[in-house]
Amino acid sequence: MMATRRSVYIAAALAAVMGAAAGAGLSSRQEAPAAAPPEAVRLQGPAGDPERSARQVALLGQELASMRAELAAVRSQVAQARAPAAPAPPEEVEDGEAMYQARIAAVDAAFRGEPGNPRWADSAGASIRDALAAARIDASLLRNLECRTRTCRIELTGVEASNFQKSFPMFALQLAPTLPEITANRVDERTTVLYLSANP
Amino acid sequence: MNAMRILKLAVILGAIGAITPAFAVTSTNHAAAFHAFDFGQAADIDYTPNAVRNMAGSTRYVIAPLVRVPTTDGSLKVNVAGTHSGTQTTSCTLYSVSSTGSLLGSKGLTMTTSGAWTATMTIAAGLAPETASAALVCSLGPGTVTALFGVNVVP
Repeated sequence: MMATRRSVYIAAALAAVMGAAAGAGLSSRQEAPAAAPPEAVRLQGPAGDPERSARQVALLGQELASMRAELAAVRSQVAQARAPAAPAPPEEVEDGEAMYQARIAAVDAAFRGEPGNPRWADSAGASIRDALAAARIDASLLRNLECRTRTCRIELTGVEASNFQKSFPMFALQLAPTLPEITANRVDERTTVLYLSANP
Repeated sequence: MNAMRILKLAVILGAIGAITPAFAVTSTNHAAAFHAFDFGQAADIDYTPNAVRNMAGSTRYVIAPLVRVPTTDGSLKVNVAGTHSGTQTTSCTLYSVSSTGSLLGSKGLTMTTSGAWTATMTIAAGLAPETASAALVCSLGPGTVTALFGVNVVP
């Protein structure tokens, strides 16, 4: 906030200097000079005075040096704030769709890399079927259900988008204690693949 | 030419000053942001100056839209707070939905405890791009025994 206010002050001072140098004086807006710091007030002067303009430019130079130092500090703060824990390629950060597809691929690869655990798989599969029933999602839409060690992959086909969006929260809430993490991949208009994972 | 350079610098400085505070912003959402998830149950949801609660005799569900804030790693992270008058259970699910309406991911939470509680929920980077919207759906136990205070979206 302070940085913004100071920048406004400087912008107002710059406008005053430029106006004086051009022989046009300040604009008709009086609010900015009234709110400006002492430096800005001193910059106001008669139009067309070369000595005053030179002093104003000198003052401006000092102010610029100060602002450059401040800019360097701000840039440093911004860089620190933006630094991710695990740096990602800039092009991926900017491309949300690419990041999403990469995430889906990673989740799918992790699922396929899990060893089988029949006991857990049976229990998790039963929980998913119960949750589908509780959310009133037609069991016939479930085309595939495969569970391994901590992740299940299900494929729902023929899901009408608006009905699914309304039913899904009840389905997810039912599974919150056992399979709280869900990654969704809408393959096409009729098919959605869900990866449901237990907490690590 | 110098004047133009100075003016450009002033504009850049102003822009940086305006952008910088966004990295520390938390989106604070009061409990009044929650609405009945089912249209026909809106009359069962009651509000106090600090919470939302359920006046019905059975569990109800509420949903709140979340205002996104920039995060350093592209994830979606929220802190949700509530209270139980005894040992009850509150379940919540955090959702990320694409700009075209497709579900991208969700994260569930089950709190079984007594008294006030807070919990953090996170949807991993990649499943919550900047263009995605987010919402939180929670259960509210019957008869005002559970309440939600609000949800904060954190950087």
